[in-house]
Amino acid sequence: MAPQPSESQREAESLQHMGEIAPAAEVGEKVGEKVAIPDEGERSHPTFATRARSALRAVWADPRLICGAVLVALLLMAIFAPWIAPYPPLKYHPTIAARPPSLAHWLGTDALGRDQLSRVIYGARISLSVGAGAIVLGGLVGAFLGILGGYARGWVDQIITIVVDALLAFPSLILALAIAAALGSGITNVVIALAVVRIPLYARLARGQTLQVRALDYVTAARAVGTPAWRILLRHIFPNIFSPLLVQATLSISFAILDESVLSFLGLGAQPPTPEWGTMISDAQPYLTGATAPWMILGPALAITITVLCLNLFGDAMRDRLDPRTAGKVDSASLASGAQE
Amino acid sequence: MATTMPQPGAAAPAQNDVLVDIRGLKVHFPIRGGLIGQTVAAVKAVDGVDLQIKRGEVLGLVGESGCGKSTLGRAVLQLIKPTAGTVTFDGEELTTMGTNHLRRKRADMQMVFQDPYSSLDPRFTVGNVINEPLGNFNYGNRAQTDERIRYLLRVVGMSPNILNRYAHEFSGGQRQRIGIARALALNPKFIVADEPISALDVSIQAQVLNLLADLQSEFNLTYMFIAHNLSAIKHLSTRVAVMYLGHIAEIGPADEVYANPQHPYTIALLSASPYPDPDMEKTRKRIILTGDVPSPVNPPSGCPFHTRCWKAQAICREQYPPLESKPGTNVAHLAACHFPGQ
Repeated sequence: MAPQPSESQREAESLQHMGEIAPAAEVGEKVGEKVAIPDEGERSHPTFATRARSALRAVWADPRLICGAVLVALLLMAIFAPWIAPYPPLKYHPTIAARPPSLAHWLGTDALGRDQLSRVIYGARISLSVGAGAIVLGGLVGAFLGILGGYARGWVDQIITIVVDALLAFPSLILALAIAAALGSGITNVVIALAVVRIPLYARLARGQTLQVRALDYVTAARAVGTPAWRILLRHIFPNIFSPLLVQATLSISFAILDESVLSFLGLGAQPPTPEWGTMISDAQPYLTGATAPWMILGPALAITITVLCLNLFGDAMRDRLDPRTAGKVDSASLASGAQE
Repeated sequence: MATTMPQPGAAAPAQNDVLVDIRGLKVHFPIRGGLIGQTVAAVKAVDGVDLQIKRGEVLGLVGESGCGKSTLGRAVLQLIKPTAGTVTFDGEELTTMGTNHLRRKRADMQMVFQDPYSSLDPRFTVGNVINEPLGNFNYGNRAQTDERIRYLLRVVGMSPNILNRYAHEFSGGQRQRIGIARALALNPKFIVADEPISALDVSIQAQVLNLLADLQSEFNLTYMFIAHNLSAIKHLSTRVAVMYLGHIAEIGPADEVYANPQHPYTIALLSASPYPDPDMEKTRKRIILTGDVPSPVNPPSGCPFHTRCWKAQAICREQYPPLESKPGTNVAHLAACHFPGQ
């Protein structure tokens, strides 16, 4: 982006970036305040202004949605890590090892003198992508199996249930360890291992929800009007069981992130010089007990806490909004006309 | 045991006069149990039903909860797979039809559901709901489909401006109208209305009933109208069938059945509906049936009604009474009873 600046310039620049990035997601929402209030006639053609306005109103009504902005900020932080991080995350500075937080190093330095803040920022890349990757992969496969078994019933269901129950019989972390060990260390294999251990969770959830939904009249009605089975699964079953799956997914990304740290700690995940929150915590652990450098754990711990908290709160908020029966405010039209159940 | 008697008397209608021909239809739901989930018993929801529905008629099907009338309705449309028997629709046998052929056939036979809340997908807008059948059968381009949806909404007495709203924004009666619009979308010949008014407020029931009656004459529809209450369908039905525990107890022209009920169960059902005239109402003799409906898992031997019947004799416990025309009644009026009449 910019020509290689000196160390202090970079720092100042990055501070500016940090200042801008954090509330970045709110910028879009603030736009809504400035625009003219649209009249009722525009209802059926939502413009950017009406959308922004209803987004702002939604955040006002449910502050948990701010967590969405924080998650976006975390995501941007991960994507633009090279431009945001004040120092290279891998560069050793043995002379400034294990320093407490200061203006130069906001979160201090680790045992090798690497800037903790830069490592936390780079670490978001691995933690978020492994967490999201494992959940998306495990969630898709699990949901597919669960919906298939729940809708088809019969022998298909029985086979899927047996496999899923067999997977569930293992403690998930042990199973993930075994799979990761069998596949060999590396981030991709960690994603696969974490995805496989999550398949049963989603398969069971999806199956149970599918059993409920398929018994409802609107599924029978869809069959009665000649909707083919695959379209019933795609248009009726999946959307109606999506909310619990999404909530489960957002809640368990955090667990995937934690599990990934454990695997990394055990040497199966991110390999040593790579900055990663879990390994950073385990690196910091010896300095915590002796109270020699307790701040060292602050950065990665805060990063994990904020990420997990925001994922959980945002997951809950999304659940409430994604269900039209509880939302009632999904489109501004129904809000404006006061047509709420 | 179910007797599949040929229907005597009733002048056999010309074949193309009958739209739906149900023969010996049985629907048994297996009850699984034991260690390996084997079938240990079966709920005999529909246990041998013969029924013909003529083109353009409204067949009212009544019976109390759990007698199998809804199951029968769904089995006719192959929404529940029958255990035995055949359903011939418009000259084509449905029970042996392949999935795709059956799916295409569904354009001609539709259903209106009892519960207007669960019968509309909460994630679908009104437009989506009515578009679903049209989309399945490639009705036409977007403009044509849109025009059709707006037309259907007008037909059922709703404003076409509600296309983009969700079903949960509407009342039960309005939702039922949307469900009716969906059923009409493909211009069906036959509609199974499964207690379409029993979940609605009393004030709305008449409106929806009248709407269904109007649509029937306007689009020349044939209805199988299911209800648990004889008076609700009195003015709509051409013929009435009374069902008890998976069997047809009595069937005949509506006026006949109401004026001259033959089966004790029908007599008891009729005695339960109040007369609008207060003087008549005072003279009404109510027959209160004792006991519960027997379990359809272990239905009584002989006539299934004998456990609650005040006329029951030894023969009722031993022999299933054939469904036949009784002396002094219309030839098309059949009852399954050894001791018919008042």
